[in-house]
Amino acid sequence: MIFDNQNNETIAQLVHEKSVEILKETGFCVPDSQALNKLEAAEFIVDWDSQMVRIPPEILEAALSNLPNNTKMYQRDGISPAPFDIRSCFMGAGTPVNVLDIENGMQRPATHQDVQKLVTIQDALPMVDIVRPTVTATDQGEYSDLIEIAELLRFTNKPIVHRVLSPDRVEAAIEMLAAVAGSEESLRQHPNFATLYCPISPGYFTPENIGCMLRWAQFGIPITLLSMAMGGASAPVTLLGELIVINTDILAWIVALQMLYPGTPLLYGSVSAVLDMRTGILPLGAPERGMVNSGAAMMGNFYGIPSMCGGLSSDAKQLDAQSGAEKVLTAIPLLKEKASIIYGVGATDAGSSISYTQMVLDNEIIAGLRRLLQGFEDDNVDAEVELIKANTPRGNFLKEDHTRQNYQQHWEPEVFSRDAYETWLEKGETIEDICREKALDIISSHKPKSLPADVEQEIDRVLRRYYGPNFSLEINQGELIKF
Amino acid sequence: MSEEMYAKLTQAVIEGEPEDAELLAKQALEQGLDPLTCVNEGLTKGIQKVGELFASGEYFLPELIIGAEAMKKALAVLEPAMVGDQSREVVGKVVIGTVEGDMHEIGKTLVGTMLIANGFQVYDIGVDKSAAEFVAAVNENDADIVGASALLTTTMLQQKKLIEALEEANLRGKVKVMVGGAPVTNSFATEVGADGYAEDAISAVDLAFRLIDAPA
Repeated sequence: MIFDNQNNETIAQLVHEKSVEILKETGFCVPDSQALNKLEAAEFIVDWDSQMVRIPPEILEAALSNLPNNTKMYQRDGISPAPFDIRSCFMGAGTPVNVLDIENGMQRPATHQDVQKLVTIQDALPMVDIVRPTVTATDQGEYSDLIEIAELLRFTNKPIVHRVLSPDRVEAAIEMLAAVAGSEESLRQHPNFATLYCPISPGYFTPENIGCMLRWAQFGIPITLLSMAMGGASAPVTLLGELIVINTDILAWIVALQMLYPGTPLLYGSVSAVLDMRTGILPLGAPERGMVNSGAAMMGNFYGIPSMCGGLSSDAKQLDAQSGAEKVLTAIPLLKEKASIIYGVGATDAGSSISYTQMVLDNEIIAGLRRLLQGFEDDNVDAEVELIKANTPRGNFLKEDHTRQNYQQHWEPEVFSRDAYETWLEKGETIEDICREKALDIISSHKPKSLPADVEQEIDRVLRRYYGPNFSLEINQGELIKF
Repeated sequence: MSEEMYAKLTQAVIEGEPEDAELLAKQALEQGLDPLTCVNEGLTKGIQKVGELFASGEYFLPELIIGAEAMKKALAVLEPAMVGDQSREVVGKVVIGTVEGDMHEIGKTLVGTMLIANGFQVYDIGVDKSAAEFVAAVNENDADIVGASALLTTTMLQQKKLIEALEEANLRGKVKVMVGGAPVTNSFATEVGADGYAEDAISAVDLAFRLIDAPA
């Protein structure tokens, strides 16, 4: 998309070569002595004073030549994988601490109950392929990441994506995931879960994030290396320069993880954007957001790793014309570049809030975009020509069987209004009203496929280690705990 | 002769030339010019003009930041040369840093630079700073305001710890606390007992003026 007039392969090759050069000459920072030891043993060049690690090109090439092509994300029941090798899949955004209240649309801290409801809605919406908690359960304190994973497991059968923020909680998360999958081995074979970690660009992951990644890798859990570069602040302001930072940060850890834990399934992620030079905020509804992350989709395809790219995003503070336009603007480049996973359902306000109504509207937008991708079909042209001849002049195609057989290929909206003016006026509903009603209807009527009782108990048993002996997700009402 | 030098210093800030500004400051001292007058008649006028150009929409952050950088470079030459009780007039003194466990630098530095551009003296203590380190810096520099940045949902609670530490050190009465960072909101700031929250670098400057009760 960015490179419409250029050869993608040439550009991807250039970005790759520049990253190889940076990793050879400058390297990346690994502020964790255990990881440094392991990398040194794997023939990376370690400078212990600066904690900088350089990658000899032959090590890099060896890692890339053995890259596994095994990253899949299955449904919770282990049956079918998300089809991101065939088409772009859409995923919930996240995970800010705010939600726009479903009733009044105002920003407030998100709670455990919001996680349950937002996961339920994603489970119900047909255009959402992969589910995230989308918000942080701010009423659940330091270990809320475990509750969020538990609720993903309980409230959807779709593949799920989340992380824990401390390495010592990886095992607890694995226990819950394995309880649902049946065993650690079946989790490894058919993971319904992928995790994600962000570098601080350029060239730095926190020790906590490194610790988490290395532990997940031991269990064969797919890991997304998710760049969050800010063009003009943590990366060059130009798109190609920013893409080189994104790629270098990701490539460093593709190679590191493959050398330390060969075969670790990986995703190539970027939720990057370009700084707004008037306010210093990071606008996510900007066209550049879709452009730079479509570069990441291109690089994921170049390495043969599924990509997870930020788009379908907006800076609007409410569901409005801006949110609709920006969502489309930032999704199209990713679809065009065949991003495997598009990261953005439900997000608004530059990713600072999740909106119930936006989540419903996003489902509608995705449905429209998917129709857009289908294009013209030419497999029945002879029948069409016969039909035209038979109806020329002044025929009525509405009465034709061909019409009845084929009209359903055209998109029928569920949310957008196509009412005649008087009807619309009489109904008196805004699109926000319609989205709110639909969200409320899903919350009250949709029943996600439940887990067996013994698995529920096993999840509670894990959480009790953190939340006390009387804890149960079933009865945790999620009262707002004060910070 | 001296007027010409002041004008050159002003221009170096407006045009955002840190190396020129530093060189001019050195030349000014060699020529025996008074460092405080160089600041007041040269640099300050420059940064005020930069501020005006930003406010009118002609300048954007990159021009503003590099103008402030030019001012900082020249100040680093001129301030040590000031004699006796000479000191630059500042609007207020601000200690700024990113809280413990958080390595994010850019937002905090941007706010610091914006404050410098608006006449504040800024002591930037860096990233991953404990409450005790903030308290020590407030004491050492007799700060009017402390600004604490947190970019992660996991580190934002450190802002509360900082406020508690300031209370324990009996400093809370004399220093105002402003908090910021991507996950921070106004209600969170109120909840933890901060004096103010700003959602971007521009409103942080307005907030700082309000907190010390000075006209912006």
